[in-house]
Amino acid sequence: MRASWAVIRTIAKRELAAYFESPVAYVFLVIFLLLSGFFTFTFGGFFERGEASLAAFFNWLPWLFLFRGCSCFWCPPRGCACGPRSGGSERSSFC
Amino acid sequence: MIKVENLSKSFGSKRAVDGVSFEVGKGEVLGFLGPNGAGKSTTMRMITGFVPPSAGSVSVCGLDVQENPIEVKRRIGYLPEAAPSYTEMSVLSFLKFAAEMRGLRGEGRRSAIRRAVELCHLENVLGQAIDTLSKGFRHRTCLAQALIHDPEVLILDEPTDGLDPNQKHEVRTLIREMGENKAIIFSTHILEEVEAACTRAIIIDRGRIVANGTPQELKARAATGKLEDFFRSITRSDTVAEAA
Repeated sequence: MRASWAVIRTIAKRELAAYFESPVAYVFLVIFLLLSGFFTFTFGGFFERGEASLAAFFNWLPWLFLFRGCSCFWCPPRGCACGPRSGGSERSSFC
Repeated sequence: MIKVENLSKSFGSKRAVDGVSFEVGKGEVLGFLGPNGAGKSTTMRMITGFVPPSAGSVSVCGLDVQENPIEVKRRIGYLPEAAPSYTEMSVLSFLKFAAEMRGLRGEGRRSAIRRAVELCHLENVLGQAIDTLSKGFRHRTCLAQALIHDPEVLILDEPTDGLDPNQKHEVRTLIREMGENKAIIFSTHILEEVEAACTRAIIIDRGRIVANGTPQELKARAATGKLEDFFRSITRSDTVAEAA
């Protein structure tokens, strides 16, 4: 059991690191920050609400996760095991 | 150490492997020969547990591949046919990853990587991303991954494919040396490779074993005394099989 956790950690580390091999991770980080700012302040009316709450931010967050999350699946980083680019029968058997 | 009994695999109505049985002991290097589509890769995948067999059983080091898949995989080093790897990683980080997957940490990991790099002559490309490497280096990187935990059993699917003659020679020598205290199965199309590296060869055609013996024995069975003629006499090419 301990061994399998170690393996899971190793794989997770590699997959996460794969995002940072290319600018993909940074692009998504910036897009996420810009959109969450837009939704909170412009769309959500953070200041116009006149109350000390982060509701404006959290109300829109699920939608942001939903769509940004999906686009992450649509264009995964190079070398991500599930990406359409990775190809090859051997690779898909790793999935 | 490897015991294959009555192994069969069907893909739909196509029988890729049909009742194959053989054994490989410690210190043996088994060459797996056969025309394209004979079932070599499928057999190897079943031995490593990558695909389940339709019938029959495989045991590695006394453990059944179906019943103890994790224990078995721990004892096997596998080089798949297309030498897959994470192409954006550097050679060193890929090997680190492979070693960690095999449960190696700290000093154990460092020495394992050092040994694998030395065996596969990867010293000069350690920092390079795998997708910038030539095919030969890519293949050797994947071979290094298979050797990293010093497994008792090695399954190599066309280890010399795409290598230049010097590299082929090196890999053959490597296989012969390692074969002294491991059980190795490797597949190839190149017949002289069998003579150079194997202690025993199996020729497989359309899913069945058609010959099994030392390279000398097989050669003696051909009228001309050449392995190639023997191979051609007992296997049929794809096109002939299609017409039949």
